[in-house]
Amino acid sequence: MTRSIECQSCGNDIPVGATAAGNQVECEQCRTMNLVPSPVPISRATRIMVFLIDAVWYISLALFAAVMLAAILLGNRGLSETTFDSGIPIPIRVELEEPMRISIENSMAYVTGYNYPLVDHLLPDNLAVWFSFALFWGCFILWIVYQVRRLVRSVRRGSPFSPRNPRRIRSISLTIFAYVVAVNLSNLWLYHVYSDQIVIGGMEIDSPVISYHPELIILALILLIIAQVFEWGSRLQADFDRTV
Amino acid sequence: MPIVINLDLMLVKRKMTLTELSEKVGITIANLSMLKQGHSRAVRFSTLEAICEALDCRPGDILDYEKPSQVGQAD
Repeated sequence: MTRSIECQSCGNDIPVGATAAGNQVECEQCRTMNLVPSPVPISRATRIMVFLIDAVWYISLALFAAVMLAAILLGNRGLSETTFDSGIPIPIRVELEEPMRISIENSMAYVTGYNYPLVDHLLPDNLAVWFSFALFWGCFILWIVYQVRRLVRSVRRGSPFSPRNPRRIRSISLTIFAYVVAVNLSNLWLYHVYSDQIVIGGMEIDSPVISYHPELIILALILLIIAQVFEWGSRLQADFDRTV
Repeated sequence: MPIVINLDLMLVKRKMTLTELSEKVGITIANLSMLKQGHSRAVRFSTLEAICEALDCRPGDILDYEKPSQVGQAD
């Protein structure tokens, strides 16, 4: 029975025989010599975890492909005319009283201090914009799911402390930081596009909202700490693998 | 590395093969081979004890220390 190990240098899958434990095998991609660890029994929880993350990965891929395909097909039917600079009528649903202020965040306009949106659709009916947004967020999500999948697969291989895993966890953390920055840039863009288009008697548009997303920043920081722990773990694992 | 492994020398002296030693000690040939070639980073006391018992020798017969300059001259 053959199994695969992960190259410690490039992350490539290397097929090895059942009796290869303790031997060194060369990665065909980067020519690094890798020590083959002893096979470990896979627990039921690991199997379920692998199945779930595989399912999430393939569903995410299918959804992403479907959204992109739909955008391309609809775009060919003439629905992608650019309306960036044209005035877009914005429906106002609530009668406001002074001295309330309006803020713009996540493609919605809010009355400051209230959680429900005053206008819940600031983006124009423009397929190019929606396509860009779907591509942007889709890539974020796919990248995180891909990295988590690689992490889970390394657990299945019995090498959770491979030198690649700290980089993967760090990569997820940096992606979350990038998400927070991207959300704020998006808000800033929406503010500049729409701030002069929302006109309500006596009302003023608030300055661009900075979304700090403390929960995401804390998550990203925790992931950075976990990556550091895995870094130490991978060094200890390397020592353990070469201890006779 | 200044630590030199003389396992192959001891095997010749005792007229024993690595496979036989592996069976006696209970360690895989791959691991013993790694030790013999100096690719290992550490040796457990239990492993050393088992090898010494199987080869009827002392740890100093298997492990030796050469100063880096001596190693350089040898090379």
